[in-house]
Amino acid sequence: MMKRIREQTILITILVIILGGIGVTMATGIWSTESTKVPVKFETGDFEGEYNPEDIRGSYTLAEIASIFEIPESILKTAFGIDESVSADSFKSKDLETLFPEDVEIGNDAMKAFVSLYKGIPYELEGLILPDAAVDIILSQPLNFDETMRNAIEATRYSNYEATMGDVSDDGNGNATTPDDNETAESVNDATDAAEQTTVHETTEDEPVINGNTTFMQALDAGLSKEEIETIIGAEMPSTAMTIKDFCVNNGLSFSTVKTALTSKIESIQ
Amino acid sequence: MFKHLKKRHLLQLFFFVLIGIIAVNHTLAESGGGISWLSSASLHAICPFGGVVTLYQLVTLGTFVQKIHISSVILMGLVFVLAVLFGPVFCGWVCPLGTVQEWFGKLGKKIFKKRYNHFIPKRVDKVLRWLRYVILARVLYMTAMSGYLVFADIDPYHALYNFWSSETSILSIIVLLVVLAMSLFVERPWCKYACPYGAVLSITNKISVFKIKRAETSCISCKKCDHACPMNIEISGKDVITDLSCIRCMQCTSENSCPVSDTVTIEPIQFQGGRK
Repeated sequence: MMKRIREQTILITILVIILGGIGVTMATGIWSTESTKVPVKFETGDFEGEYNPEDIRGSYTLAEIASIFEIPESILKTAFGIDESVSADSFKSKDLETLFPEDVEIGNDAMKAFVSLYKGIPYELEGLILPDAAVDIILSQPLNFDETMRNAIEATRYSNYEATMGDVSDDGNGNATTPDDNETAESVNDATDAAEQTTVHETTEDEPVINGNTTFMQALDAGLSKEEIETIIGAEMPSTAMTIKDFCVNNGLSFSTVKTALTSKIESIQ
Repeated sequence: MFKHLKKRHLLQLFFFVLIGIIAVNHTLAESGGGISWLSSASLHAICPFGGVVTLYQLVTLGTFVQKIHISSVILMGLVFVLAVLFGPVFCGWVCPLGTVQEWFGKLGKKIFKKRYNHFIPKRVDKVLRWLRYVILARVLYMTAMSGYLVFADIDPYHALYNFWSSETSILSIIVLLVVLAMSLFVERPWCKYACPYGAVLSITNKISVFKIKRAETSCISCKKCDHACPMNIEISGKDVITDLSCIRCMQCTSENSCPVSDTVTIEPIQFQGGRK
């Protein structure tokens, strides 16, 4: 028996299927319009089953990092000189860049390193700078780091970097700053300051060539050859659609190291 | 008749406004504002075509293409269910880009009267209709190879709701403007010739449970259905409409343009023997 339907039936069916479908998937927790903020876990080794700090993304808030890695929010704030009054729910890992002078790269990579070391997970520290407070917190933990590792952590101190660059630096306004100043005075508590600093970053710095979302195809498009990429990652290049970060995380490589190597290679080509 | 027409138009308006509000709220949320109880999803996250382009990567790598999330895959599935039931109703009833083209088309009809939607020679039109399948194949291949949304750079739908954003490419804004200008001459030019998602959904015209049927016994061959069809399908010459261009807007049916009741209807048609 053929049954004709009317427009009204179609209209109702569309609404029920689309809106109802969204509602059901929301209720069951499947619906998501953002990246899942659950880092991958170590699949092998001493830390098997633990979340991998290497997978912390710039969009993770302090509250999310604190919850996932079971680190008190106050420790994270103290480590990076973030004012206590700043909301951990809104401050993102990438916002760390707004707290430090432009030439100092303390951002999401520093957060990854801090979380790793705080949890006792070794981390590739070459080229990294950590606030002095972060180094102090890490070294005060009862961790089994050997002397070499402890020295490497000590070497990341922001004050060491400043000493290398000159005992006293200029903050761009003609005022002398010290590491302490940077850790305490430059907090996002003052929203205007933070916004101004962000603007400076946006207008004076180019977007990083390689970031957490960069795929191998984009690295190729940036001018690298397949061989150059394979030399850096030490393996055959996977699907060009895969992100470099996912590859590093899946293969136990330090994304920071790979990122630095690829970036410098691209810069040398350019 | 007008009362029935209003239902589709109202639904089109509903989705046009809804997506617009979400797009604006997304921009506001990005700058720390926005309405908290309203969705601030990105346009990519609520685009069902995003689900299509990410399928390959989802199957082979278990990840989504950049900027695409599970919401796109869910929407793709829901739209597919609708399409299996009724055909590409998403195009005719939901898609805001189709809606905007229709609005511009109304202006074109006023300007060009009966000449409207008949500027392109049939032979050229027939060839151009395959273009969207070429675009679909190209977009799927490029996305699978690169892992990022290559289509976003030319997507007029993205430009429609994000023209104020620095994320939106100039090319996509140009494509949008060209599509809107063309809509003054041709009904739904993007849908007819270029939309890759329309190309995907068009296949369901062949397999959908409900299809548009013309009853030859009561048809008076007035061809009003032909004139009403925005996609230039010759309905008066067919018993069952399985044309790949059909967007199931129901303009041809007895509820709208056909003057004889129960002559052009939508009803379940068995796959075998569904067509004379």
